[in-house]
Amino acid sequence: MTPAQSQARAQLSDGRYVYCVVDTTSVPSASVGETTGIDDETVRVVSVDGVGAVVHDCTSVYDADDIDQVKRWLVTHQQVVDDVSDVFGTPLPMRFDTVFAGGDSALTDWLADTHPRLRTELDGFAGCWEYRVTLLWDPQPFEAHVTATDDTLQALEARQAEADAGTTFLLEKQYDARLAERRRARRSALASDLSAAVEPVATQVASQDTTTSLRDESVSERHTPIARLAVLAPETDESALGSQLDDIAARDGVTIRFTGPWPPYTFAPDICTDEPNQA
Amino acid sequence: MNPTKRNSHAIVEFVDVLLRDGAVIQADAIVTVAGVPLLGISLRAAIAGMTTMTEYGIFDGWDADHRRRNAQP
Repeated sequence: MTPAQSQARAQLSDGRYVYCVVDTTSVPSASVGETTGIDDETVRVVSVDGVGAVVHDCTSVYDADDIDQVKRWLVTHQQVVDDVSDVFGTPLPMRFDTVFAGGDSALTDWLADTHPRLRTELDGFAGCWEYRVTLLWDPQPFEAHVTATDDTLQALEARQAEADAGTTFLLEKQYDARLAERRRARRSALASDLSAAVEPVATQVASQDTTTSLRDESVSERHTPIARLAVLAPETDESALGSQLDDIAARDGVTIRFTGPWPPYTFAPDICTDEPNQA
Repeated sequence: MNPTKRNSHAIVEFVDVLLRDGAVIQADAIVTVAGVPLLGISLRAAIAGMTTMTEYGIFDGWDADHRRRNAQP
């Protein structure tokens, strides 16, 4: 922790850790149930006119050198969001470690100031969830097929058999380049097909970097992630989305990872108090 | 196919997402240091090997909870 962060921790006396914002119009705020928050803190809802922030009281932000501790916080955070989602429906999720200073009064001031914007966002996300789709590809079956059927590759191979050493070297380079070109085209086609498959059932789609910041030991060496999509879709279309993905997953060398339903983390907007209301 | 939330890759996914995404609030009352979110890139980079989380039993309660939900009609 930096000295500045240490100072911030020391100064926070009446903090509110915010998990998410929920629609409390039809469900009383007190219905948050028995879910317990990070470090077993009591979770409650601070509500202003049908828009509620799911919070626990805290006296510090959450940062630690102990990685296992951070992992527990993250899982608990998600657990709370899952639990309140069951009660209130799709939440507007906050990024981990969103902490207000100034107690309930600061929080209710913020809820009142941003109320039209929060209302619009909650209404927009109602009934929808985020699903995440990763297309992993093992190129070996494709390469086996292409080397047996591509005319250019076949011709290069035949010429290599009759060429001298210098020419063979150049022909091998051409062979590799042609194979790489076919592989690139296939990757591009698979990524396009995936986008086309999810598009009919998606409210929004965001294409994302295929590398995560975290190491995923469950990915085999041979499988390369070639497309990663965050898909916002109505809960009622979850099966349809799964069916669309079945078609892509049936292709040679393709593995589809389909996770969710998540709160709309990717599609949640940044909320600035000073911006014009969008209601 | 049906989506999952319990496999190791789903866990990697949500931790990655949770640290990177979600609504960011910009308001005077939000605790930051010089406008910079307190939990930054360095922490994300430090969290590796998420599948080992199951070894610590961190997910036991969560797993059970989701199995129960999935079993409901």
